[in-house]
Amino acid sequence: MTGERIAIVGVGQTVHKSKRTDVNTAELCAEAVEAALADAQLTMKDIDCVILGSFEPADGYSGPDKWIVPEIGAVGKAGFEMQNVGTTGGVVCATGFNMAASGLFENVLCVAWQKMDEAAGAFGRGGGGANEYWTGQFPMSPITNFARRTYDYMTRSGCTEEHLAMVRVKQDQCAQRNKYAQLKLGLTVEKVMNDFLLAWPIRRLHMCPTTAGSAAIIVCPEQRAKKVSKKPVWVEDWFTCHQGGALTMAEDPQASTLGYACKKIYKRCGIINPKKEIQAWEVYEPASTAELRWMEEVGICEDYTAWKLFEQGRVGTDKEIPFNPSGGVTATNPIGCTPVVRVVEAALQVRGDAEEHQVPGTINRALATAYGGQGENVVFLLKKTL
Amino acid sequence: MAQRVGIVAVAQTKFEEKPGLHIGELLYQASRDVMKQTGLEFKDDGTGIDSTIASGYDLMSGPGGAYMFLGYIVGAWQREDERVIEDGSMAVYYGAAQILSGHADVALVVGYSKETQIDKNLIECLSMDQVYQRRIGLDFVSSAALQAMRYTTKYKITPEQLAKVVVKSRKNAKNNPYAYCCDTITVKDVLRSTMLCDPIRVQEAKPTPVDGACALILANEEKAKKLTKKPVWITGMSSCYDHHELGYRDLANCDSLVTAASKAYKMAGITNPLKEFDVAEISEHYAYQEPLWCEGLGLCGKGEGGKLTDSGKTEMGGELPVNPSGGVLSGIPHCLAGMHSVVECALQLRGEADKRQVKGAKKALAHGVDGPAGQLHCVITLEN
Amino acid sequence: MLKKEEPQDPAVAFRYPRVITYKHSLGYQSKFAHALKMGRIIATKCPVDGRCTIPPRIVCPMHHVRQTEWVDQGQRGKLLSAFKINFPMFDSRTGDLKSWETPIVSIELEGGARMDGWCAEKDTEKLKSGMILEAVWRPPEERKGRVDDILYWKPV
Repeated sequence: MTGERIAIVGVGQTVHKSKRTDVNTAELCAEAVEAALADAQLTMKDIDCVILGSFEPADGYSGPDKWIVPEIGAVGKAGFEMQNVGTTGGVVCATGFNMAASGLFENVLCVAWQKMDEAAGAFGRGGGGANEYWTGQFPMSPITNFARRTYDYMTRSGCTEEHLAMVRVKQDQCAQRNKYAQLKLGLTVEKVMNDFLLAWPIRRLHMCPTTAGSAAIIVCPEQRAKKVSKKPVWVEDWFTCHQGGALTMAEDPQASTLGYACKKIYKRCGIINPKKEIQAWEVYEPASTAELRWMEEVGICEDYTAWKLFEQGRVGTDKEIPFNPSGGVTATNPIGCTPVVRVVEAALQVRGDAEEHQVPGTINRALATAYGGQGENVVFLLKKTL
Repeated sequence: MAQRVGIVAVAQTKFEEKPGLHIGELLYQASRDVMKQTGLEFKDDGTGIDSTIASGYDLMSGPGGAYMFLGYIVGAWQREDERVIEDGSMAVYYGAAQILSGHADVALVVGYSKETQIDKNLIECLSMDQVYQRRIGLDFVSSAALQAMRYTTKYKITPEQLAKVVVKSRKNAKNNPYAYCCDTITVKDVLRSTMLCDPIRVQEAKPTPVDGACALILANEEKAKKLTKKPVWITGMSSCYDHHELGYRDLANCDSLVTAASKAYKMAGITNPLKEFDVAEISEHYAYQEPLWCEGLGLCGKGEGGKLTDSGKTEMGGELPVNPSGGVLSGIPHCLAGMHSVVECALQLRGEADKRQVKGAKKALAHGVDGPAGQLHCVITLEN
Repeated sequence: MLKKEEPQDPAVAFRYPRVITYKHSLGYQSKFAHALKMGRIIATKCPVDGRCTIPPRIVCPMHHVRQTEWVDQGQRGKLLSAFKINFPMFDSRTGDLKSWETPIVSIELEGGARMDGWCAEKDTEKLKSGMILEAVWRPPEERKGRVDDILYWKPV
């Protein structure tokens, strides 16, 4: 990297809820921005660039940045809006990192939001990012995609429905300790296994909810970060890896770029044993069952063996593998904003500020990802020291 | 800027109605063209193109459909591929920032738009504030009309002056083989054309629908020098947001453009834009915008845009030819205008603009705009 | 600022109905649509590794070469996986909520391409991966060049 080294100096998010009728979209964003500015002890005057993003079809706007910018006080600043369906938040962060590392700006603010209580139906109507001619004629959605993916995973790995339920219970246990998380249900394996079946083997509890929420981060180049922050979280590397509809689920149900992206980023950062060298994981799993496959792809265990770790009870905030200590996406999912929440949570873990869901011990490195469509991924590595 | 970013190849398709083509084919044509020019492909090991950035509204291309084919059609399967939901100039801006950050050495920037598949105004209306503005039915055309009214009244810009902008644009477009609309037209024809949205007449607005695509390859200084003999350097760039609510700003001024331009000029070390630039490509979606944006860009004083047009300085052969390609008024699709400006400027600086070439052009000014009544501006300065 | 006593109902909302009609061109996919009208399923073939793809693609995603060759895929295929949707979901063709009775199946066709379809057998228990399915078409006069010209797939 020839550009500046960069750090996250402030993070903020709203308390995620299924409905926020008390605010409009812009006010929701303002909440997260205020939280991030307060966290960084900066004011809007210090910010010189804003990067915004949300998954538009799920919100019912086109280019909502235009009317949200004045409401968060960013008139007169440079910036633009990014969008990449499910990985929108990931791309927003990546753009913010690029803008800060380019040396053009001192303080870059990244904001993403989603208010799904307003137009969640539009997402289903649009086919959820489907090819207009081909998959547009089938009822395709993340639910059907993950039904197929999980079905395939179960055939290949030999895990049972009970293991899938164990994953969901672990996520719920984590979410209960996170004050920002949306779903805190007190689940048991029986409860999950008796839940309404959407499309076998996916039950309602396995899928991510619809959420209204927003999150923001503030990024600075090295010199500035050292000046303004006592606990900067350094951004080691990031990689956007998209395959945009290159493979349909029919062609390869396990199609994903996560494994590829992780291998590439580990190589760039000299990580040999990710399980040891990364102490906290915030991975975007739109369905709880995806967590199993993602654990394998990020390099925690061998292919098709992750379910054994759950059987042995080795995954959890205080346990050997702190995977999604925040509760993950099955607890909270404001689509376009979710990846920013992952980065925020990973940064909090590195700083040691995650309060009740803090992973014990020093967190030197944390990994956050974004997921979208049929296997698009953005991977971020954050670390404590330069 | 710590280092310069070079444009090593540019391409554009002919702009016209292409109802029979799939939107991906437009993209394929343009992206393939620049990749052929440089011999570059997407590579894993840093020897080819590292990332791609596209621009365009998601809802314009179809719900969630826009990104589906982008990656694999340009060859970015399992590579970095990101999308800016603004005018194309912002994608160039981001592409250059990505190279400055060192995250990518070579980036492919693409823009594609197919207005024939959707009513543009429907989508633009969805960009407006949903409580106060959409209910009135405001969209980009009606807000432009409000701005035109305010601007022409405040600075006494005459309809003839605006008509001259259109005449000049169509005349220039005749020299541009890619242009959509290049009919011979007189000031009288413009003034007699149907009223679209008072005071904007049909001929004073961007022709629509048009389909097309643009592509360019950006590279860092070292690689750009290796890849081409005629690199075009990006010397300064900036974007700036203004208020969304039309009532919050004086529509006769364009404060955000002034800010964006001054930041970009500072980077590039430009003090007298009218003298120093040899050619300018400005995104004028409506005729009144050319004089107004010229004021914002510092090419003339406040309220003197009309006089600038009258003086003939902006004509071909004048002091600073504005839009030798014909510009947006000759028909450039939505979200592509700014990127098209950069592409045209690059062609001028490479001396490859054929009949529309401004002789000896050394410095060029590209401008893109998005949002109602010019809310978000982007200014990019270029040099050869 | 509103005083506390004044009505301050935060839940005021209004509907904003809007119909957006897209006219998507099929472009290179129109060959596929024409073949459907004739009762045939065709796919593009990658000149590098010979992989057939449905939906047909202008370029091969992996090798980035233009795919110009079209290959007939036959009328039968091997079942890869099947699932049934147990909840009302949006029909992207109409935008309405709808219950889905028939299972969706993934099929590997004789020509090697993989595609989705509906299945005549409603009991998913009876659908075993590897079984052979055959396409059942709409009568020729009703075909519109869309994927639902294939009514469903029937176990042989």
